[in-house]
Amino acid sequence: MSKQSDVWQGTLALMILKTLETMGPQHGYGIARRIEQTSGNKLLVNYGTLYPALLKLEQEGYVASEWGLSDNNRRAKFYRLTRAGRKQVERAAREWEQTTAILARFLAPDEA
Amino acid sequence: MTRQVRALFWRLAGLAAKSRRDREFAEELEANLQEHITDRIRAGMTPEAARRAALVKLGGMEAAKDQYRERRGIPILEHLIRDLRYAIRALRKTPVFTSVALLTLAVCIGANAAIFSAVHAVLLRPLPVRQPDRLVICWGSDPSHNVPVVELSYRNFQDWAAGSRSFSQAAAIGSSTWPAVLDGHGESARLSSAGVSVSFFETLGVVPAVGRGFRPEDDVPQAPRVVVLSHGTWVRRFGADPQAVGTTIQLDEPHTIVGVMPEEFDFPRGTEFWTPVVPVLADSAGVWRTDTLEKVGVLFVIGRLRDGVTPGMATDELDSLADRLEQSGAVRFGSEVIVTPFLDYLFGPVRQALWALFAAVWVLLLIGCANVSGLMLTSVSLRRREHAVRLALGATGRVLAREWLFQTLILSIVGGGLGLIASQWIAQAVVVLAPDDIPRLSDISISLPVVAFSFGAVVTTALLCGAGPIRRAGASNLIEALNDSTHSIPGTQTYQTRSLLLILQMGLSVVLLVAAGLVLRSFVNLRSIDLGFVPSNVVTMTLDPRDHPKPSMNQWMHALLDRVEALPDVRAAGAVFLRPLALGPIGQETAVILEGQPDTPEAARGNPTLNYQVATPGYFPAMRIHLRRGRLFNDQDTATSTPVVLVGETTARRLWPGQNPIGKRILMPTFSPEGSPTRWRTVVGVVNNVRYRGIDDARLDVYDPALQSPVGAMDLVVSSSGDSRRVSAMVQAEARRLDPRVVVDRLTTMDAIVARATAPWRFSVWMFTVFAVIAFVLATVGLFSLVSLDVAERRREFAIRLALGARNADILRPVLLAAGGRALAGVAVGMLAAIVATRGIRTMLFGVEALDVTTYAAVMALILAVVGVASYVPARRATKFDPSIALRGD
Repeated sequence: MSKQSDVWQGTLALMILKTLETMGPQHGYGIARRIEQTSGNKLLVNYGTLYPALLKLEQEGYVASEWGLSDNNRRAKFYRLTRAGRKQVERAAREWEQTTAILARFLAPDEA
Repeated sequence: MTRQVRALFWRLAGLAAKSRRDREFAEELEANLQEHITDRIRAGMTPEAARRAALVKLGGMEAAKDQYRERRGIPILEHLIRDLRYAIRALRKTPVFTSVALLTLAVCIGANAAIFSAVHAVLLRPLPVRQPDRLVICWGSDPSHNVPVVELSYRNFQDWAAGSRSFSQAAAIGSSTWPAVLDGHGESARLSSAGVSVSFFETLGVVPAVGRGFRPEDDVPQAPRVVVLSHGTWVRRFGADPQAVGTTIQLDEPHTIVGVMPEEFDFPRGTEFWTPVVPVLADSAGVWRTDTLEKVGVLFVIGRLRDGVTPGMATDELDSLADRLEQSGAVRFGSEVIVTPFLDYLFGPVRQALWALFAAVWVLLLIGCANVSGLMLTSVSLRRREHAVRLALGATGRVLAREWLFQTLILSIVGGGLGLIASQWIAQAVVVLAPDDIPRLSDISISLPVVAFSFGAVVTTALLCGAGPIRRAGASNLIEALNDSTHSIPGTQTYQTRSLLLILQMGLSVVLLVAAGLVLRSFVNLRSIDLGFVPSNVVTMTLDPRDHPKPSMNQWMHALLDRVEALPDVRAAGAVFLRPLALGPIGQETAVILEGQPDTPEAARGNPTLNYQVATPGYFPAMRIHLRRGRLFNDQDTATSTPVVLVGETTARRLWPGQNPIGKRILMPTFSPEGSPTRWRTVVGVVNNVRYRGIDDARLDVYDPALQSPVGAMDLVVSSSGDSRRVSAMVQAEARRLDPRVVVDRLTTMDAIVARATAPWRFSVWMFTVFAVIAFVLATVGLFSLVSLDVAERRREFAIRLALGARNADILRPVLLAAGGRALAGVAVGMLAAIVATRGIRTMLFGVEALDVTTYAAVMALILAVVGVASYVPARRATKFDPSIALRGD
């Protein structure tokens, strides 16, 4: 990941959910900032990807949204994790760990 | 899974209230942007730089909105809805095109559905008979005596049933229905009965709905009489009471009801009860004074063919059985055996007429499709510029094609809906026009199969209509479209496709026009046949006097006629044994022996067979049957006077060629007056021929005077100058005065009888003419619009040529030649197709060949005339262009 790269849809969803879990309710810009910071600015979150992903999560019922006031006293739409969302974070995180573990075995130096 | 369903639900909801959601998202993005900018400013950027960075980061707000929108709703559905809207808008913007297309489709699909309903009601619905295609019906024929149908004896049936290996089952049935008067259940009335052998129901594979069928012990001479009622009679006369079965009723004589047939079983058509035939025949031995089972032919034989046996094989076998029977000394009925498939017998020429009509409406639908397709091609062609602009703005060929597909679908579905509505009316018109003896046609309904069929027709239509235009629209090429939108000769390909469609249309309408012309000529021929009587203002009815002994019925009739002739407005009144066109080819044949010939069957066989009739003196003036020579019957021709006969003109010519028939004497072995089997009758007069057996069935007539015949003349005919209903009421009143229990039956007018006999032809004429005219109008519209398109697209070229000094003729000639060439190609194709197709309607033709030159020439002339007008009128516009306007305008 030498260049700032786009995030896969599935991974992005997990990152959003995890962000909301750790940070609590956030607006879109906050989520994007947080993801970029956590990745050490290696990831670039495009809004054309972020908002459809948020909408999809909302349609699936993992997040809910409501209008509120930002730190800068601006009207903004805040997203928060629903109960289903919390379960989904656990499930998705577990699946992700399994996947990486499996991939790690493939990529590890030959042990045989 | 449930998550996906939930998401789908929200996306569906996302289709609604779009603008509010769009606003909300714009606001969210805007807030996002502002947060971003504030962030950057805090990090030390100038507001301008912060804003630029934020906007860059946002990755294009409009693109983000687009992606968001796609996730919010369901893009495919949204596109579909959008295309649908476009299509509807396009259709509404071109009202002439839309209404012509809709009208075309409605008429074509309506006609199609209506005729399919008729075909379905009559032919496709299963008959209540097991494997009807394996059944055949047999009778004799005597072509050398010009008697196409000779009925068989019971002996004949027995022999075939026992000896035939072609049939797995066989049954006898009366060649016509026989009347019997029912008393005691409502008003006394004559019911139609079918005399059948025991095996009848089993052979057809039907079982009574209530009670039982017949048993062998029912079908022997002097057996107690039993009947099986038709469902209709059971309901009308016995209130559908199951207890009626087992009771005894008075049907001329006591009969026990043993069963009731199912509602849908109606064979022979109009039968009100079935009864075993042997007791009926045995009882009538007194009247016939002969062994009726052996010597009287009144039956047909129905057989069920064994597997693998064809009607032709059955004919051969039955012929040899008949030969063997004759060698054993029995009477032979007819010189050959005719075996007819049961379905052909049941539906007669109607079957072919309906299938022919069905083919015709499909042709009509094809023509309609070609027309709509052509109209759409023109429309696509005229909107090339619009397409080009939209392609330039990023629409794809596929989008354009989809829009046209939607136009096609909308037109077909709306047209199909209108067509279904129209089909109800057309179906009703069909029922009204159709001959009333088509079995089951009155049950016509627009039912599920019809709707399914119409849907099929609509889909076919959509595909056929849309295929061409959709391909054209989809193939719209930006550069090509922009380049040739107004220059050069555009749309060559469109023009070629339309030309092909036009040739197809012209060809198909030629086929229909030729068929209509042939049927029309047949009808004219049929109408021009001299029936031998004048049907107008003649009331007719059959009387059955109950309080009078049968042998003296004709005296009773004479007494009644005296009273009827005295009624006001009555011009003449008479009675006859079988009025004209009563039973189709069935009637009473008689052999004849001339003076000087020995009274032997061999001598009789050498002579023509005559159509035997019995008439009162007033019959001839009442029917306006003209006397050619000698005298008519008069009141002096009684049972005690010299036996006399009248003969028809052809009879006289055949029996005594070149001689004066008056005074010649004949013997009719079949019908001898009481007690004197060899009484000679003297010919006293010659009358014109009368078509008794069918409009196209000429026979040799011979008449006995009523008072000298053992056969009743109970068909009354009254010619009057008054209202037919009032006259018939007066006649009935007189009959009741003579016999209070008299039963009046078959009350009608001779006009109605003749109309009914010509009904199949009239029906075909109407249907074919209407469809052919619609087809031809559609084809003409197609031609007109093709030439209009041609002229409109080339107006610039014409204007320039006119400006350069071209004469009108120079402009017109190529346009007319192009149109005429295509029309002629269509006519040529159509003529060839017609030669093949009209074979299918050969049985419907009368007095005209399927390859009738006059009809073909007339159709050709009609088409050329109309083609000339339909191409000249739009072509003339080519010479009217003002060069300055044409060159400047788009």
